[in-house]
Amino acid sequence: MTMARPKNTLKTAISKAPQMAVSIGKLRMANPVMVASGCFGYGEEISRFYPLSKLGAIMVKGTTLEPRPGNPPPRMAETPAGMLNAIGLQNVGVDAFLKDKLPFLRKAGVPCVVNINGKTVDEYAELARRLEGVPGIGALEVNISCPNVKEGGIEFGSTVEGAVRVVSAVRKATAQTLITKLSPNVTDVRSIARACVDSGSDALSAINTVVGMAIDARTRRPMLRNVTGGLSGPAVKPIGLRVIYQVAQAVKVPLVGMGGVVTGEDAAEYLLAGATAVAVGTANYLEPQAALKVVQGLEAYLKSQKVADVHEIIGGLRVGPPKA
Amino acid sequence: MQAGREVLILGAGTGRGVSPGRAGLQPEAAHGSPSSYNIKDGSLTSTPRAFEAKILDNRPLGSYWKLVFEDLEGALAKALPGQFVNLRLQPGYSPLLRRPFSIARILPGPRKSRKIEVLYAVLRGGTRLLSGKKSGESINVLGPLGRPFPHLESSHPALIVSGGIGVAPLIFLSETLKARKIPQAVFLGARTGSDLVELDVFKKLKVPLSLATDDGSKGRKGFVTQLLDDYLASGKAPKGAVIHACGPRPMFKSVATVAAKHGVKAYLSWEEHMACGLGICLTCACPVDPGDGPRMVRTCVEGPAFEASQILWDRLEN
Repeated sequence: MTMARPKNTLKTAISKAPQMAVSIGKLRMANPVMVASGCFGYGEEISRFYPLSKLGAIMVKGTTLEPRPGNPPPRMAETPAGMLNAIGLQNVGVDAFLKDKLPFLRKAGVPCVVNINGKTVDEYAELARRLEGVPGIGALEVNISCPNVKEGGIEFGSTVEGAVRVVSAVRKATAQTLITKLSPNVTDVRSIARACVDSGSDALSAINTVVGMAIDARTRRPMLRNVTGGLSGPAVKPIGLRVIYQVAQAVKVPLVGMGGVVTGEDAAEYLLAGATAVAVGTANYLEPQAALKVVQGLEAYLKSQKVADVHEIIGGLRVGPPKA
Repeated sequence: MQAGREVLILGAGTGRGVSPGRAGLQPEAAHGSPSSYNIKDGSLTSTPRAFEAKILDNRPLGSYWKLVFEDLEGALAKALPGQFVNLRLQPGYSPLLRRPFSIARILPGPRKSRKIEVLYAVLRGGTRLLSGKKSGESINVLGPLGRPFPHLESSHPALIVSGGIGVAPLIFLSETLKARKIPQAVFLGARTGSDLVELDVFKKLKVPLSLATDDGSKGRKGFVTQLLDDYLASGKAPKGAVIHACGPRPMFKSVATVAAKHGVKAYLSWEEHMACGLGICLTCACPVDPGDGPRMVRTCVEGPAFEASQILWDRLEN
């Protein structure tokens, strides 16, 4: 079909960089590629490898009101095409984040999404108040799905009622764009997704890690001190795609897809399933430049598919028998 | 970093030690003199790079293996003892993660063709895969990572203590101390004689060398920490000496006990399950108390050498 096109036009269309910018609520991003919370620290380490402004946004390490030491080691076990972690929300706390970490990200010129975690509903709301109107913060990611803490986390994200309590309280506390992070470890993710949106969440992100275990048969011990941990990496991509696809049918808000994104095509798959943006997580551990390569890979994919604007493929999955 | 558990460990066993090359140290103001040791300093002292390196040699060495690759980009030219590299064994997702290894030696040569040696024990799938790599193949190297051993530029004499494959970062350390004319005594331990490798390197350095094996097949029968204890008890240790150790976790515990008993500082090239090696995943945490309260530090950034008396042993598994 391209044969009929004048040669020059075709050349122009292909060489022109596709439009990659997307928005999630008030969060405007140069491209749809974010980095996932807990997989990028606060950006300093990776800034030694490429300018962080190449990314759409940075979702920073899960933040709590007080600093948390996290779980005792061992905290990680490698599994086929994946890894289990049980960090337990080790972080510097919101005050140190604002004072010591945020200035660096502002200077780097990349929007920052703060992943907030509370042991109680009040703690989530208090965190939202502390982060209200702070320049450099593009959105809050409400983490109701951390599988590695004793209080809070997944406890809230496993039920409609828990999700409603947290999201409603945070919504009342802030005008910031809210992205609620969903767990795949639930019976019906669609009902939780709807509850979050009905409670005022502007967007949703999925998936948090999949609860799993690894055992050393020789020592008869769990590989993680915490016994269970969260599975991430390419192994969980099929689950992430399924969750995004299901949630996209259930709600109308923008979605951030994550779970096993390593290449530009992985990112494209999430967009086709219905995500407006993606987040790169575990891949950052394999290659320091992983997220940058996803940006470049997605751009190359769009060019190869002759897509001028990334929005054209969002939710563009072709379901049903192929047309002849 | 140690040799025990293949996947995750940084230092001892597998011979991975961590520390940033001087490249990382350049702005000395950033964290004081490289000789200083401040576990609270989380600043990024290294300037690591990820690069493809050509494998020059890969063969068994006693009970272990030695990998030699060429640093064509000079990325590791300024690496110092204690620092490590995180190797991606092959593209794809099997295995998914890199494997950290101490730099065991950097052979002299032009900056852009230096030969880097790594020692490893074949323990599970990852190191088995590594042992199948042939000369001429390439491997993706990320490094240098972590901080060097402390006191590389001070006048503190060194007591070097290794267990098994934990000798890896200590070879580089011993050679560097020798070149810098810092006095040292070396204590090498292992299960059996074939686990004592690179003895020729130490012999060539003409450093005081004491050996111990569990089965008595080479050196004294017993633990290397007994050698250390006896040496310190004899009063022969030079004033201001510090211990640099790398080995399995039980050896570390024993070194810590002996060091405390004799009032000597001991730095342990720690090993923990690790993913990124860069400081972003927080998997390689070690519980320490530098004097003002407990905290978790990253083996890959604040370590891998930790001061034994600051480690919170009761919060660790063993």
